[in-house]
Parts: sequence; structure tokens; C-alpha cells
Amino acid sequence: MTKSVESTAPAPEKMTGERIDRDLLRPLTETSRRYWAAFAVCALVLGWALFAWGWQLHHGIGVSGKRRPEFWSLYITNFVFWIGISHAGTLISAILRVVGAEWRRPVTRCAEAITVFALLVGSMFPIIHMGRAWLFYWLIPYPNERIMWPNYRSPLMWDFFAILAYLTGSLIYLYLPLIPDLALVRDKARGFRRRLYSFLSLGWRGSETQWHRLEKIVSVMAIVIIPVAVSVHTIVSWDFAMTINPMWSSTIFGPYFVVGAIFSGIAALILAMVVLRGVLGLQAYLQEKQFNNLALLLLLMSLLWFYFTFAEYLTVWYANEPAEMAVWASKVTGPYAPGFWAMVFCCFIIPFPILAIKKLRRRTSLLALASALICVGMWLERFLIVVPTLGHPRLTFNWRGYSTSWVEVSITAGTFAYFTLLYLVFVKLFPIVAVWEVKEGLRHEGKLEASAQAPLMNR
Amino acid sequence: MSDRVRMIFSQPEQLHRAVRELLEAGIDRNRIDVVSNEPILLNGEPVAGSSRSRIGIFSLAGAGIGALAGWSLVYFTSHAYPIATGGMPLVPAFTTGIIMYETAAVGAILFALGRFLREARLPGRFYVPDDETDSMGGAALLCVEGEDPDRVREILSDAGGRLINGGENGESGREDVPATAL
Repeated sequence: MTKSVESTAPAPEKMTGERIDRDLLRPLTETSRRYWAAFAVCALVLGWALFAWGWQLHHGIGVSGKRRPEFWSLYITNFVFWIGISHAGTLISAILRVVGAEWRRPVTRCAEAITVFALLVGSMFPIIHMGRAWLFYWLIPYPNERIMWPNYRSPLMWDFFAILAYLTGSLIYLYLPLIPDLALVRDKARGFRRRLYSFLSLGWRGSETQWHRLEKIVSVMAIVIIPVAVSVHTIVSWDFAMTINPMWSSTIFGPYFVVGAIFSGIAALILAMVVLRGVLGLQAYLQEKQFNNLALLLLLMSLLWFYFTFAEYLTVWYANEPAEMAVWASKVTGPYAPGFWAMVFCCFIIPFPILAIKKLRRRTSLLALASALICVGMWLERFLIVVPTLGHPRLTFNWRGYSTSWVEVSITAGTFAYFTLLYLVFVKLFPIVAVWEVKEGLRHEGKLEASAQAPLMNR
Repeated sequence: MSDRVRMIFSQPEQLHRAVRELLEAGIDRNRIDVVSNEPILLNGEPVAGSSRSRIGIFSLAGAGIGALAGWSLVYFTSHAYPIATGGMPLVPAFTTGIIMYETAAVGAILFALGRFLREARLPGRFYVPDDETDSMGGAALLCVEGEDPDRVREILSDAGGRLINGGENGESGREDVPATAL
């Protein structure tokens, strides 16, 4: 039987700082068997993926199944998918901060961590896709052996700058609000942990000047990061749209990709929150209002995604241009039709009623199901953008069906394991819910009780 | 004999009142130090006052410098080794604008970060608590140094503060607090 969010959230009217500290810092000290089991499974899958990558490095990129004309397949699908997932965190967190949404507080760090790890995973794919990964530095603008600089007119070069900017911003945006919590852990820790957190917290005292400056820079960063986040997926879409290939050369690809990215990002965030809430016992912090508001955002993005997809497919069908129609037909009625209809069901037909009907979206299990389906659907969408077009170039003699290889599939699976592993390590080392932000929010609501004991403070 | 007085306040309102009364009593603003586990700001500003932040201005300056750096990178390198562009300009405004946009963002972020670290005096000395302490929410420490301790103690006590260094020399008398070891 499914449980509603409300029924499993025993949040008291008032909370003490002690309890908040205890609840949110517990995962740093207590490790369940489930955690180690998940860690072991992820490590095994990642190990297998590393073996597959080693195989590819040894035997050449051909073993990944890449042949003419489908030079981009799962690797670039994964690249686009993970960059999309990265929109879960920093962008959403920044928007919620800018608009002053108080319910964001327990959600932000969980989301920002997704961004950083998804970017790390996603940005690996151009390097894996290169084949000769040891020449990765050719992607960087520097005067190489041929004294030639990269072509700045290429969208692939824009990708480099955009992802670099987003990764830099996201890392800093994750780290800055973490500093006070690192100081909190430092004050409670002993031995090696105390030295580690002393180093990481940069000597944070919690003086009011420091707090004021922290609030200031977080506000500035939130404003800067929003246009950067939007630009990242727009530029990823231009990798395709700047070509004249059928069903790629589209003026709406930029916003279509951004909408898809935020859509899949929110779904990934909800999924992560459901898991964290259950495993770490965060029912008092990740409550109905967080899930409900994110579900409503997801509903909005689901409608927007459907609108863009409909517009994209309608205009191609109406124009009836032969080269475009070949790709269109391969997706809608041809060999890729199962994937296409699965995408429509996963991204819209199944999630829409779950998200639209209040009774259904309040069930965490149904919400998690809708989110998981959306993630699957969005991966399929990326695949259907990349592969069918490449398989149907304008010259028909070059048409070919797609087949994959165990190397490509293993590396794809490995990246999901890698992402989960990074998240597991993060949860073990850092509070996944921002302690000080939660306290601040509860104080604003008048729900933070004064502690009876003398607090800290030896600074 | 130390003239340092440290008191705990469990409610921000008490702290705000204490600071206001200290200032009204003519205590130098620079001698008041407020430390807390969560931001206890009054209308978004530090209760004991603080110099103006220039993080925003530095961020804007960083954006300008970043954009200029992006343009310089594209312009000078493209001219250093011109390649065939099929009739397109060597440094097209559209595409160079995209690079400048991203480098402007990086510049804004890095300059804001640099200024934040400077204004917040970070990284500071790698602070390690020297005794068993436990931090809890909902409290702030107010420390006044270099003023008449009896007078300061009276003002702070009236405002609801609790002394944590009750000894005359200000070094002992701290209440025992159970530590939660991690």
C-alpha cells in the first residue's frame, strides 16, 4: 500500500536546534547496511564500466559500435542527458532563492549536489567519445602543437566554455552555503574529522559580518548562475541545431532543450529526495510542501515539454520535406517507434494524471514512479534526437539502422553507478540538508525553540 | 585582568536589544562581536553594523573583465593564425558574443568569490575549538572587549544575556555543555 507524504512526516510544531543538529548530522556518523550494499553495487557496476572503457581504449573506438553514419550515439545521448539532469540543482535552487521561496531550504543542497555530480559525469562523455582520451586537452583553448587555436565559431567550443562556467559556478554555489555547516561539524567532531572539517570550513567563525557577506554572495551567485544555466543547455542544443541535418536544424531547439533539462532535472531531484527521505529518516525536513511544490513544477514542465514536442513534430510533418519526413517516420512509425511511444508515455501520458490529481501526487511512491518514468523518458528523448537523424542523412545510400555494443551499454550503466556513488560519498561526508538554512527558516516561522542549555560557543 | 565579557543570547530579539543598548551607552561598535550558528541579521543587515559590502560591484567588474578576456582570447588568437572561414568574418559578433557571455559569467563568479573571501576574512586561522563545545541552534554569542566590563555585563544581563565567563578574569566559569562527538 502506498503511503502519503503527510502520513509519514511526524514534524513537530516546534523544533530545537539540538534536534536539528542531531537529525541532520546523523548520516555522517551512522552507516546502515543498506548504504554499504548500495555502495558495493555501484562500485561493482562502475568497476565493470571502467573495464569496458579500458577495453575501448585498448582496441579502439570501433568496439563501442560506432560506425558510419551514427558517429554520435549513446555517449552523446548520455552527455545531453546528464547535462540536462544538472539543471535540477543550481538553476532550481537559484530561482527559488531569487523569488524567496521559503520551502526551498531543505531542498537546495540536495539539488545543488545533483548539479555538480551530473556535470562531472556528463562532461566525461566528450572525452570517452573521443576514443583517444589522453588527447582530451585538445578540447581546451591553448596553442597546441600545430600552433592552431580551436575554432571559436564551433558550438563544440561554446560547450567547453559554457560547461566550464556552469561547473565553476555550481561548485562554488554548492560550497559557499556549506561552509557554516562544515564549521558546525568541526565544532562537534574529534580527531581526524575535526582537522578535516577545520580545513574545509576555512576558519569560519560565524561572525555577523561573515553571515552578511555569505548572504550577499549567495544572492549575487544566484543571479549570475541562472543565465549561465540556461545558456548551457541552449548551447548543447546548438550542437545539433547549427547543423542542417533533418530534425536538428530547428529554431526552437534552444528552449526545447532547456525545458527538457529542467523537466528531467526536477524529476531526478524528486527521486533523490524520496530516497534520501526514506533512507536517512528526513521525514521532518522533506515534507509534503516540498514534494507538492516540486510536483506542481514538474507538472508545469511536463505540459511545456509536451507543447514543445508537439510543435516540433507537427511542423516537420506539415512541411512534408522528404529528408525530414524520413527521420520523422523512423521515429513515429518506423524502427524507433517503440522508443518514441515509450517516451511519450513516460514523459506525459503516465505522469500527467499522477501530477495533476492532488490525491495521486501526494503519494510518495506514485510521485517517485512518475519521476523515474520521466527520467527514463527524457533519456529516450535524447536518444531519439541523436540517433535517428544520424541514421538518415540526406544522401539515402548512407542510411543505416543502429546497433549498440556491450562496451557502450556498460559505460552508460557505469555512469549511473558513478553518479550514485558520488552522491553516496557526499551524503556520508557532508550534511545533505543545509542545517543553518533550516534553522533560519524555522526561526522566521517562529518554530525554532530556544535551547535550555548553554550553546556553543568558543570562538 | 581581562576586560572581555561574553554572553549567550537564546533569542535574536534579546540580542538586538542588547546591541542597541550597548550602542546607546556609547560602546564602540567595533568592540562588539556577535557570533552565531545561523544568520541573526536585522532587516538583512548585521545587528552591530558593518562596513558596506562591495561584492556586487566586484562581481560587475569581474563580468566586464571576463568579457574582455573572452574577446581578447578570440580576437588575438584568431588573428595570430587566420584559418579559412568560407567567407565568414574571423571574429563574428554572434559567436564571439557567446564566448564573451560565458567568460563574463566566470569573471563575475570568481571576482565575487575573491571579494567575499576578503570581506569575510576567509580563510582565517584554521580554527579548532580548544575545549568541549557543542553548538546548538537559536543562540548567539555577544562578546565585548576593551570596555568597562561591569557596565557591559549589567547592560547585557538586563537584555537577557547569560554569562558564560563568569570569573573575574573572564577565563573560567563556563557552563558545562555535553559534547556530541562525531
